[in-house]
Formats: sequence, structure tokens, C-alpha cells
Amino acid sequence: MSDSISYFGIDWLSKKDGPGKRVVLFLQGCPLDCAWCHSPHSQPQKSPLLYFESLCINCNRCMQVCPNSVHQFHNNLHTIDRTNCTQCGKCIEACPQSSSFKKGNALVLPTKTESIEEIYDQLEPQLELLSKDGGITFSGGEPLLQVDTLIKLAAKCKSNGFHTALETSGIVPLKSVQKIAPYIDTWLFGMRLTTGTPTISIETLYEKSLSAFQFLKTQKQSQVIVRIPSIYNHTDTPTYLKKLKQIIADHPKHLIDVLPANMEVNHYYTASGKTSNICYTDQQARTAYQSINECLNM
Amino acid sequence: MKNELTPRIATLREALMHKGFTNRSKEWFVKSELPNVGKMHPDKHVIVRRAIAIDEMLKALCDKKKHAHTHCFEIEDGSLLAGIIPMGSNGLGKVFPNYLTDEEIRVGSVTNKSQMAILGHNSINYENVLNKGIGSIIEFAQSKLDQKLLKGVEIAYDKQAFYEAVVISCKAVVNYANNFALLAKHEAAKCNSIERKAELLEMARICQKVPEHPAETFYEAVHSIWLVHCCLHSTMDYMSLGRLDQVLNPFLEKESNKEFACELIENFIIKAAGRLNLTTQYLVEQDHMDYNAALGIHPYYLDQRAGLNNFLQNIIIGGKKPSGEDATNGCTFLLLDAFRNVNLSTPGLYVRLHKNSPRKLINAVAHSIKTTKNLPYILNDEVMIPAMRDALSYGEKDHKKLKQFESLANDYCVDGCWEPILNGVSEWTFGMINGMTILECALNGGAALSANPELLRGQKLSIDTGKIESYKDLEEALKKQMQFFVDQSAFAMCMYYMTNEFVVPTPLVSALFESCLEKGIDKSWGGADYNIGGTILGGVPDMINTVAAIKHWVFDKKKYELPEVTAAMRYNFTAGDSGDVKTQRLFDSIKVDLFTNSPQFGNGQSTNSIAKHILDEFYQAVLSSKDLAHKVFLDPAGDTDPKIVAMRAVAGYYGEALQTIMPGFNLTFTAGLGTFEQYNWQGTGIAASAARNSGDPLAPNFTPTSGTWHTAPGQLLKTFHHLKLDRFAGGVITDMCLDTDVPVEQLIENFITHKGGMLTLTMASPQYQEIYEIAKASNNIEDKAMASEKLVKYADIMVRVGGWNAPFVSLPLPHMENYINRPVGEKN
Repeated sequence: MSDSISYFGIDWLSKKDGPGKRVVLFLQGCPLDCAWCHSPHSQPQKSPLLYFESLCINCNRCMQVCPNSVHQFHNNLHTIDRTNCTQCGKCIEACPQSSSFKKGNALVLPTKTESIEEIYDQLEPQLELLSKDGGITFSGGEPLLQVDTLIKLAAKCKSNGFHTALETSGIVPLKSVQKIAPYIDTWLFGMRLTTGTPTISIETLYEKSLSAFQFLKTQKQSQVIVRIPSIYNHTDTPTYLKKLKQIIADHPKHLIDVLPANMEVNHYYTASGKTSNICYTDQQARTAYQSINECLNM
Repeated sequence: MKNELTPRIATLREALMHKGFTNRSKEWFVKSELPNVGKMHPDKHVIVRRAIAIDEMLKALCDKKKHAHTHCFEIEDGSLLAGIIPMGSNGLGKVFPNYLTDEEIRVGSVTNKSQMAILGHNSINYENVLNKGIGSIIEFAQSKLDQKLLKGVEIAYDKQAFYEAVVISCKAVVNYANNFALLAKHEAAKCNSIERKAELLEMARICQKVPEHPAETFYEAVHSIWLVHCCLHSTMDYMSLGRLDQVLNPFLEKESNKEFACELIENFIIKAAGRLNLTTQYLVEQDHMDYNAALGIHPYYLDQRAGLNNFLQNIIIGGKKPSGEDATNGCTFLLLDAFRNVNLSTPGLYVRLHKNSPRKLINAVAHSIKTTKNLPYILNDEVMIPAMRDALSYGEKDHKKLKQFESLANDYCVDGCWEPILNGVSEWTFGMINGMTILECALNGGAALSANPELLRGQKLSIDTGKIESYKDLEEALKKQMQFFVDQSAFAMCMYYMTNEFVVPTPLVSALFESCLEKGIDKSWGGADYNIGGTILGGVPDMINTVAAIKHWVFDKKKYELPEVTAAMRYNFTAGDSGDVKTQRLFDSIKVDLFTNSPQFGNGQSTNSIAKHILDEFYQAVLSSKDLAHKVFLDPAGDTDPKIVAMRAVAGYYGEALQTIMPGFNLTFTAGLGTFEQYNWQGTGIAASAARNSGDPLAPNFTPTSGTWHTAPGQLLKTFHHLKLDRFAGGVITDMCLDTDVPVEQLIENFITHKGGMLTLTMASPQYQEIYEIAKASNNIEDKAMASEKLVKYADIMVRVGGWNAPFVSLPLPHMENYINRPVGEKN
């Protein structure tokens, strides 16, 4: 569908994703696979079936309705083999602990694909409420993977007077950034000079980050907030910090956010049936946060 | 904008909170110690007996020797106001001298009426009391008595007796005030502090002057209102306080010491909250409620525990003047500041807002809500004014009258609960109907979905509207059932007017109603200029959710047959002891679909058309009831029409039309949506439905059912826009419990723009759960006092309980559970 957008969640009132209070639309799909990503289910085109064990009541109804034997119960242990899952949703419909209408479910197929009109109609009432002190943030995943349709939604939000923000790594074709730029008031530039994985070379990450960032700096109508995740042994290394400083040397300090590490990084890995590639202690997370701040004189 | 309490107010507030946690059962009056006026004066007209009982009660309040345990004839240390209301509440009842004869009480058993009926649900416009004084009312009534009025056509409505009762009850009020003047003088004589002595002497001077004479200063005006409020609330009339910012502002403008003015209002609030019970240990000892109905003719039905701290007293600020101009004034802000500073659950404070209300007022309201977590409540003039205007104008063509109705609607206020009324010129009564009972009857041919096999199909409550084979059939059955239950409620309101006047005449309140006084007709005889009867429909969000689920799964998806769904609802999704695995599997599947896989009210547009349809049918049913009630019970033409006479007999009434008995009487019918505190109770006995098990609570007022609101406040606000709420003059109130991050100013503005009716906001507390745990544990431990001590630190947490605010610590457990499930914002 050319006029539709895939997303995996909406946060109706966030204070962490742009200026003021925000509605955040999390778009599906990401070209990166950052080791510290706390939403691994956002990366593929469609999220796998998520399973939150603590909410399961072992009623077996999912097993009874599943045509592909994805769900199994052995000694009250619910196991899921996603290889045969066709995402038909029958297990969710049968599950008393799950609903496609609300959050807080045992089983979730978070990816929804809806038209711009449908999405806008959902967002608009809450955007009206936040219009004086906030707006809409497009996040992900990498929202610019769906830039052609996202432009239409961003334009609609902007033309109705809502403040727009977009969170990107910049690791996308530069023309994607350029196309949507007129409709974005604030950029949340999630600097990715490393991903902790070998999928994309360090050199490519640097080049793309630099070109996207330099372009955005020329956009006088918008504001750029640089967001740097503080990840022990990844974004706090001397090499990384040196490169980072080269790029953001003249950027105003108040527009640089060093983000503390998410200590619940495993949450969605477990729910997706994956294992996280990263592990750090509280102390290590604090040290990383502190050293990045010190390096940037924050 | 003052934020801190003065030492005087802090001490008075602390003393009240301390008292609230003690055993207050001994403070109650003992009925046997009060005179039995019915026996003393059996031959006097009932209205005169009521007036004598008022006099006896007010005397008893000042009789320190006989009733010292009530602590009603005292002046609290530091208080600037004299006069104490005796223990009593909407939930616990009241104590008052008997004034009916034994025979009247026996006959009243048919209609559940006696002198103990809790009155109220109305408000006083104190303008006349302040400007003319009660002395002028006594003079006026006396002059009428001097004319030796003849008993006219309204033979039962003895004007002579009315004016005699007015004189007796008004003089009783003056004597009550003067007794406090003497007490203040006496206390002053004993007082060693020069400052306090001066204060007591000033109080003595004021109590000697008001309310008998006009008030001249802000202090006199506030004291006058307080004394009259005391007298009304001590003598069975739980009347609300009305638009005090409009009444008091002329006096405030003359007052140079604004800090004193604020302190005085804070003192007023604490005095009015003087009956608080904050511990639930001693409630059974304080249960003075009896069977009598306040409104209607059914035995009293109320969640007494939830209403234990409800005193039916509200203050309304802001809004529009009768002319339509904005009414915000200095006193609006003064009252708002005082309520924010004191932060008590009673009296309630409602602010009227409209699209041109000053930005400064909206900001001050938001600031107060964020500080107190729930005060004030909001009334949307953009909805309530047109609703009230149209209800008054129904069937009226006269341009002059229509203009008058516009002014009256601009001046609307609410009573001590939340029902919209006219400012000091209307009598109000209402009937409540349960939307889920209506839906059950529609689904089950006029019978409830009861599981008792001895009742076969279920308890028969209504007409059989036939088998449902299509969604259209369901709509049609719902329409007919709606009409049946609305008729039942509306005609019962006519019955109220046919019985009430002989049981609970209101000479003191009528003295304060200009039209009653002018006409010599008591309020209970139809003497008020406007008589409003509201039909309030409860459980509407549950109706919407259940109809939406049935439409989706039975008629659209065709996954189930309707009898399968109604059987699952009837048996609470349990196949029973038969061990029928197939049935249980079916019921399990239906339950999951009704609970988690169906659209729910308040979460977006998917339920809007069903919601609108239900509201349309309800509104039309009320209009249709009005037309029939007018023809049968009100219109004098019916007196000579054998068909009408026969229909009156069918209703159990054999008299003349109400407009024959009470010339000029009319009954304005209004429709409203809400439950008050009864959402838990209204769910009892109701079969399972969408998102609730059998017997679970219904939705509080017109709010998404607890635990079913998953999106964002903005979605619900937008929903209002589609529902055309500006036709519901009986009020539509939504109680939102929200996360503290919500932008309150914008939410208020959007509520007004999107035409919501009435709104209460409670900022959710993370402490609900721990209070609940302590309260729950206290039911099982021997040392209840210890539990009570643990709760003291939570005493300032207030929540909305449908009709009023209450300290969370005093709530029954089911109400606490309901609140714990309310806030929006589940996590992934």
C-alpha cells in the first residue's frame, strides 16, 4: 500500500522523545542492528510474535487454535517455535490475556499497517491535547525507511499546526533526509558511529552520519538535538569519542543529549525469542555515561 | 495567590482531621431526647408541625445542658464563625424530631414516605437573605397572615398554615443566631486574650445582626450564609450553597483586607466539613438511616458507606451572568484559592467555564487541580446552557418566555450532588434507571438474564419485545425497552408530586424561595417557579461496550449465535457442574471475545455510532414520556376525559390533574447520564457483559468502565464531540483519573471545545494500592485502631466517588479497587 505506514507502537504521552510532551509513533523496520538496541522487534519489516511469559496463565488456548503448532506446553512451560508462525493472530484472539486493542498483553503482534488517514485520525485527538507543549515524534526503528509515506503524514501534522520531531540515525540515503526536512521541526539525531555489530562498516557509518548531520545543520527552520547512547565499551571508547567530537564540535551543548543506557535491554529480546548480544552492569553503564559527558564537557 | 494556611486555619484544619479519626458516634443527637411534635400538636397542619419541629431542633442545638455530647453549642478555638451542624450525612442519615402523627406514618408506608426523607438536591440563592435579611421574610409572611387568608381552591394547601410555618421557622433561625451571639459574649467575658476577646465580641455583634438583618460587610455576609446553612442542614434540608462568588462579590469589593477574606472562606470550608468521618471503625454505631426515600417512592437505595461523607453541599463559581456575559469576578478567584489551600473533600467546588472564560481563570483552575489532585470540578457552559434552555423551552413558542428561559439557563448551577438546576428558583427530583437492565430485557424478551432456574427465562421486569434475529431487531427492542423504563421513572416523578407535599413540606426552604413566599405555596406543593424532573441513565458505557461486542461477533462476524452469547452472559461464562466441556469451551471463547477482542467506549471512533444511537433513543424516550405524562397527570383537560381518568387509575392515582391542584405547576423533564456513587451497586445482580463478570461494577458515571480505557484522554474528549451532549439537561458527567503528566490546562480547554458536559479530574496517586492493603488487612485484624493510625498520613488523598469527593481512606474496599484499576497507561 503506497499510502500506508507500518508501525509497531504508539506512546501517547512521552516526555523523553523531543520537546515537551509528545505522542510517539514507532515505525517498523531498521537497517541497523545495534548491539544495544532495546527494540529488536522493530528491525525486520514485520515484528515476530512477542511473548511475555509473566502474563501467560498457561491456559493452552493458543496451542489449541494454532494451525502450525507454534505454541507448545510441556509441564506448564509454554514454548514458542516461531519458524512456522504465519502471524495469523489466532493465538492472540484466543488468549484471555491478550488483545489487539490494548497494551499489556501476553502475546503481541505489534506491527500494524494502516493508511495515513487512519493513523492520523488516531493521533489527532491526543495531539490536540499536547499541541501547546509538545507534538508528534516519528521514531522507530528507522522512520526514514518509509520516508515517502511518512512525508505525507508529517505534512498533514504540520499543516494542522502540530510540532513535528523525527528520530533518525542518519544511516539512510541522504535524499530521504532531504525530502522530509521541510516538514520536521526538530531532529533527534541518534548518532551511530558504531553499532557494535559488523553489519555496516565503521567508515560507512561515519560518512553517512557526517553527511546527514551536515545537511541538517544547514536547515535553519529546524532544530537538531544530537542523542548519544552511552554504551559501555562501545560509545565510550577513545576512538569513538574522538570521531564524535569531530562531527559535533561546534554543536550547541544544550542540543546534545547523552542518554543513559537502558538497563532493561533484554526485555524485547526475551519476548522475541532472541538472545541479547550485550551485557553491562549498572556500574559500567554509569561509568560510560559519566565518561562521555566528561569528554564532551557536558 | 496565597498558598499557605494561616496558623488559625492550620490549627482548625488539624483539629478537624484529628476529630475525623475518632469515634464520633456519641456526638449524634438521640431522637428519643427530642420532642415528638406529631404527638404534641396532632391537629395542626403538617407544615406547621414541621416548622415547630425545626424550631425544636434549633433550640435543642443550643441546649448545652441537655445535649452537651453533641458539641453543637460551642465556638471552636480561633474560629471566626459561630454555628455547628450536628452529625449526619447522605450515607449515615440524620436525627430530627418526629412531626407526623402515627396514622400518617402508617399510611406513608405505602409510598415509603415519612419525615426522615433526606431532602436537599437543591440550592439557595442567598442574595435575598444578604440584601433583605430574614427579618423581612418574617415581616412579609406576618403581613399575609394579618390579611386573614381564606383557604382557597387549593384546599389542602392552606396558605394560612404556610405563612404561619414560615414565620415559626424563620424566627427559629433568628433565635439560633442570637443564641450564638449570647454564647460569643459569654466566651468573650471568660477570655484572657485581648485579641480573641475582640474577635468573640465581633462575632457576638454579627450573630445578633445577621441573618435577621441585611449584611453590610463581607464578614457579615459570610456569617449570615453560614448561619442559615447551619439551620438548613440541622433541620433535614441538605441544601447546597449555590453561586457564592456572584452573591459575595459585591461585599468582597468593599472589603479592604483580602487576606482576612480568604481566611474567612477557609474557615467556612472547614466548618462545613465539620461532620467528616475519616475512620470507618465506628460507622455501624452511626447508622441513623431509615427506609424513607428522598426522591421518588421507593425504599431508600444508597451505598451508605460511599456516602458517609457526602453532605450535599457544593459551591459554584465562574460561568455566565443571566445576561450571558462572563461572570468571573474577584470572589471567583478568592473561593478557588481558599479551596486549594484547605483541600478538603467537602464542600464540593464546581467551576463553570465557557469558551470566553478568562485565560487567567482556566490557568488558576488547572493549578488548583494539580495542587489538590482533584478540585475543582468543571461544568461546561457551552453544553449545559443550551441543554437547560432547550429543556425549559420544550413546547414553548412565546418569544418573551423563551428569552426568559435563556437568562435562567445562563444562571444555572448544580445542587449538592451534580444535577443541574436553576439558581434558587427550581425544585428538582429525579429517577435513576439502569441501562444494563434495559439491555438485558431487550436481549431476553423483557426478562433479566438471571441464572436462577426457578425463574425459567429470568425475572420478568418489562414487556416482551420479542426474539432478536438481526441487529435491527436488537435496536428496535432496545428502543421499546428504553421507553418502558423511562416511562416508569418519569411517571414515578409525577407520583412524587402527588405524595410529597403531605409528608415533607419545607417551610424554611420555601421562605428562601421568592416565588413560594409570594404565592404562599410551599416548594413541596409545587410553589417553586420551575419544577424539574430528571431521568438519569446509568451504565451507558457498559451498554455501548456490550452492544458493540454483540454487533461485532454475532451480527457482523457471525462467530456466535445470539442465544449462545446471552447464555454465556447469564451463566457468567461458566457451564456449571454439568461438566459440559463443549459448552465451557464456547463460553471461554465468548468471554475472551467480549473482554479483550471487542472495541470499547472511550478508545476511539469505533464505538461512536453505537453510543450516539443509545443516547438518541434515550433522549427521545424522555421527550415521549414528557408528552404522555403531561397529558395524563398534568393537563386539567384530562379531569373530564374518561380515558385519561382511567389511565390515572391504572397508575394508581385517582385525583385531579396536577395543574388543577397546583395552578401554574409544570414539570420540566430532563435526561442525564450517570450513576453517582452507585456504580458498584448497580452492577450487583446484573449478568456478565462486555469486559465485566456477573455482579462486577458498572462504569462510574459517563466514564469508560474501570480497566477498559487503553488509549489517551484526547480520544475520549473527541468522542464527546460526536454525541451531542448539549441536549442532556439532567447532566452528563465524566470522572477521569489520569496520570499527573497530562497537560491539565489544555485538557480543560479541549473538554470545552469538544463539548463534554461535566468533568471531574483526579490525578492518580501511587498510594492507592498501599492504602487498600492497609484497609483490607484491617478487616481481618483485631486491632482496628492500629490500622486507622496507619491511615492518618493518607487522609489528604481525595478521589471522586461518582456524585461527590471522598477521602480515599474512608472508601469501601470495592471503591478502592475500582480506583486502582482506573488510571490510563498500561505498559507493553
